[in-house]
Amino acid sequence: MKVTRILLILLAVFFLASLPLGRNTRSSPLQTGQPTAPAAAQVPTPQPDPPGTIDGRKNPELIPDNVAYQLLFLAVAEPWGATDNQKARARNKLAQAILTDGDTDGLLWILSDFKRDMDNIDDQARAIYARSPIPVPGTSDYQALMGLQKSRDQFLANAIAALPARLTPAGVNNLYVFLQKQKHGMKIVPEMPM
Amino acid sequence: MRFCQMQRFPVSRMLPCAASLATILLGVVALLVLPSAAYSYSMYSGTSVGGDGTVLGWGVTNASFPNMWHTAYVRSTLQSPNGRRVDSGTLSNDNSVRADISLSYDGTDLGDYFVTSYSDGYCHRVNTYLFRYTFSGSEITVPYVVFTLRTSGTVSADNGGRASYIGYLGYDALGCFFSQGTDPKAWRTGVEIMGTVFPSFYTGMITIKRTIIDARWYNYNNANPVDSWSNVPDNTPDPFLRDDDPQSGYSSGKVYDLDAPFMASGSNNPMGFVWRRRVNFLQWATLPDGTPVSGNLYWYSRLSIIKQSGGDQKETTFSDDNLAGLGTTALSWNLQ
Repeated sequence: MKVTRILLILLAVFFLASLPLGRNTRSSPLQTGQPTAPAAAQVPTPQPDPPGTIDGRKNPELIPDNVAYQLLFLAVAEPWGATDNQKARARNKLAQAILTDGDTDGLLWILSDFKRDMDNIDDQARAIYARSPIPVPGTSDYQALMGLQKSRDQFLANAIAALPARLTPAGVNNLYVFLQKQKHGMKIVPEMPM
Repeated sequence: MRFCQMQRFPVSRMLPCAASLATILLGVVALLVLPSAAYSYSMYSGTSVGGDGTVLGWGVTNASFPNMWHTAYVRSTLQSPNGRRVDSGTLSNDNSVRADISLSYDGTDLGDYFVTSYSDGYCHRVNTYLFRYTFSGSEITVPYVVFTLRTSGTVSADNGGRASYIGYLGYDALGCFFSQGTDPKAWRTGVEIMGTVFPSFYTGMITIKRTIIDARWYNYNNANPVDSWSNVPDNTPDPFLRDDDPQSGYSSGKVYDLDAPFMASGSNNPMGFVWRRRVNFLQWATLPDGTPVSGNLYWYSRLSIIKQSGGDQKETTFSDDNLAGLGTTALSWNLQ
């Protein structure tokens, strides 16, 4: 009887604690997918980096190349059928990499593929979360999400692996040198225990 | 005793409640069995200067996680030396998000441009921020110079220092060669430091400066150097071996420096005498007022020669000796 009461109390606590769970965008300060005007004259106050943060400005050597490639690809990639302005933006972002026109074309080709694949994964993930906000291990939705993450990692690996095929050796090298410099603007925050 | 009343409910009435509790328990289990492997979130601020002088800034937040629905936020601002400022506002998206901002070229607004980005990651499973207002930053100068070290081929045709180089050394060759010009005839590692200027139409003078970080000289296979230099403050070459004008020779945004570190035996050295030299250089570009407008370029030169009856020859004990390259070299006699 006592055990049952304790169990019920615990369950009640879990229940109350779980009430906000789910896709509660109202608790999120901004609307997903839409640019929003900053609050009037509000400049965020810099917060101390979470414990364990790797700051590329201090320790660029601790930023793994695959993380740096992913961030650089996300920063530069434009979609297939990009406008002239989008194409010019991507080229200008890579200007200091000193790539030939051919190497730049090859890289942007890879990145358009990369963006398409990543966008597809995000779309699939959104569809899963729409029907199953908290996928439970063992369910097909959970397995599907894990599969999508593997695909995400694989698409990144494919994009990196495609560089030597699309760029000259000098281009691959110049991009790598550029990547190392970009690490100074990168940070990695470790997963926080929740 | 409120909870005990549940025991009196018919089973049929308890089922929805039980199902709800089961769902909660499964949710809890889900939290407990999250992948334990280390995972992380990342953010990135970057800047660049396009060939047309447009200064671009960007911020990226990546909050993706294998089985979590996360929203990534980023807000980036780009500020010019004269206070021009553009703010992306706060943007958000599932998993990752990017902000793009830019300022057009202004010839009266030269100097350091700064991008600052603030990144948030939000988890919808636990309704909390994973990280908040995490700052990343990047900066670039306008104009900006990117270096290329050339160690093979010949001096670029649009390099204003080319004629002097040929006069001093007899050739326009780069790489390891024996010079025949007005300078000491010696084995050298010729290099061309090419600075690509952004924007390409920039017309001000830019000087590529140089220091010697470290230099060591050795005889034979003696591990103790016979001479040693460190941090020689300004070893900038003479103006005749530089091209400070980004538009000279129809360069469209190129400045140059030339160097050819050498090693030669002395008249008092006996036959078979070996000289070795290892040097690390640092170069950067500045405006006439000394303002730096580039990152650092590190390069090295390694030379070993042996005096023979027909004159100095390359000493080839070490296969990776007698060359110049990017980065730094071990300073020991045996390059270990």
